[in-house]
Amino acid sequence: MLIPTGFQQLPSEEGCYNNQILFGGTVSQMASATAQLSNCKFLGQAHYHIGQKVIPAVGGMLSFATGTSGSVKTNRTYNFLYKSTPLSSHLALLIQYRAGNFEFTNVSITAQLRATGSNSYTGSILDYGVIFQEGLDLVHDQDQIATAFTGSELITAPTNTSPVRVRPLFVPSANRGDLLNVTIATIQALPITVHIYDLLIPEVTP
Amino acid sequence: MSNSYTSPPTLVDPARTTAGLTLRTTEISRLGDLQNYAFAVGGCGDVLNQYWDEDVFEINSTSYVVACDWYIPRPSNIHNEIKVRLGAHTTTAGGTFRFNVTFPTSSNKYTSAPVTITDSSRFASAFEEATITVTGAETDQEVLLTLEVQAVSPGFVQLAFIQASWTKLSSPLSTGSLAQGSDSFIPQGISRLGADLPLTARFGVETLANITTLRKRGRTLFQWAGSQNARVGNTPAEGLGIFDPQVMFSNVALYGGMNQIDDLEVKVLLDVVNYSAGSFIDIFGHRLPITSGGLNEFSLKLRLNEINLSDDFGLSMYQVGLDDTPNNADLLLSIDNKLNTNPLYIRAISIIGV
Repeated sequence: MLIPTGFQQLPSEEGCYNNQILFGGTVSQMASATAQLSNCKFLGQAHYHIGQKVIPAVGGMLSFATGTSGSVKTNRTYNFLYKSTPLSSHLALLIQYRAGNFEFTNVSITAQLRATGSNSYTGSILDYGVIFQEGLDLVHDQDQIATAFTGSELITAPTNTSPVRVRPLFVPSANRGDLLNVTIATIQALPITVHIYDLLIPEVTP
Repeated sequence: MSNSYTSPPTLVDPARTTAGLTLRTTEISRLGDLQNYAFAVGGCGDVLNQYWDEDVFEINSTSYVVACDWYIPRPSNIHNEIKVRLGAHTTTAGGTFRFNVTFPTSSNKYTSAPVTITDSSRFASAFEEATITVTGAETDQEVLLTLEVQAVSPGFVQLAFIQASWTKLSSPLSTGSLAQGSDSFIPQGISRLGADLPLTARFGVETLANITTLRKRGRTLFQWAGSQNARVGNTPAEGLGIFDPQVMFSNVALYGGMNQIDDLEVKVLLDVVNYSAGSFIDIFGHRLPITSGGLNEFSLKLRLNEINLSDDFGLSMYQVGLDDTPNNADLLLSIDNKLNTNPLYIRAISIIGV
């Protein structure tokens, strides 16, 4: 069935009363509206803003070009926890970042998916993930914010054992509903926001 | 009779409910099951996420002090357990954190047990988790979550991230009418929807009411809170700054029909410091008057255009957050509007959609 993506008009309550003929359309509308809730509205998402140092007297961010905010010339690893739902199968990532220094090094952002057993940052790898690469996926402009996106292709379970070209991360069925860790490693790129989304599966076999 | 649900859920085949086909109990039973699932599980994903880069936010107070506070949605009046995960390390062993959940209507505050931070360097080993169980009958759909941190001298605690989610209800749901704010949800007894039992008018009426209730349940669209009580020399952002309209937003799905149906709105909650009359802030295509210090709450209809990401996600996507406008440039902290001159500033923003 197709999963509705809007709050459609519900059938009249009076159509459910005693002595009324119950039309199939009434039940169908209820079924669609409930599927919209379970398989669309209540899909998961997480929105991380990554704070940087600011000028003390100002107290808020002025820009990335001034002040004492983070440098793009660092290599860092970040851990973003994500509470998946029982329907989380594919995770899209939308990353705002800035990067530079392409001429001197191989700038990249790598994303992997890990389990969080024992609250560990290094839980078992569920998806070896993807790499955003300079020139292909990343923009060379350390004075401007750019956006990297995994796309939204509904891939089948991946088999790669090292990061590949960008695609959504895949959540194995055994881990859906778990607390997950999206690990992001950067080489001379500075993430500013990281957004994680469950992808809508538009057609589901009942 | 059991108000059970299946996870992951099984859907109703709408093709089986069209004219000329027998209306099977399979479809009706699944419809009840799916409602129970949506009530129990819906809204139990992330309700709070925030991150601080390396060396940005450190606290060295040796008694508990507030680090940040946020307004977060609560799925229903019986979702009583919330878990907060904190990524942090302490430079002197023994640093701890705890968190509070405060219900604005009753003013009741629930506090987690203190949790010792075990890592001594950033991401050394494990994040920490704290839990609160709400024991009273509370009705608020947005609650205040406060993070408190305590360090051990001469060290400090450095924060990396916070994440929070409510725990889903287990199957079966309890009997009787369940509440979500002031709305009710009637869980469906699955065995009552089986073969040889009448399909009651009650089932249809309750199903429609349940769908209407669940459509109103809140989803976190964006959260950010300024830092409080950082140690001297450590300078995380305390309020929204002039740069933030470029990054303080989310691209999120909002669903067609929300403008046509009552009570389906986007809520914006602001924590305002140093209030002075006559200030406005531009958020989500609306110019909002700031009317007091502390909490300012707004319910907004959708008036923006969709963004290009709609094509990728197969959903109607919108940019929800701070708008990049001259008015905001004047209001937000900047070189011409410094914190040390005590201007009005926004210490926290929560955006909760349906």
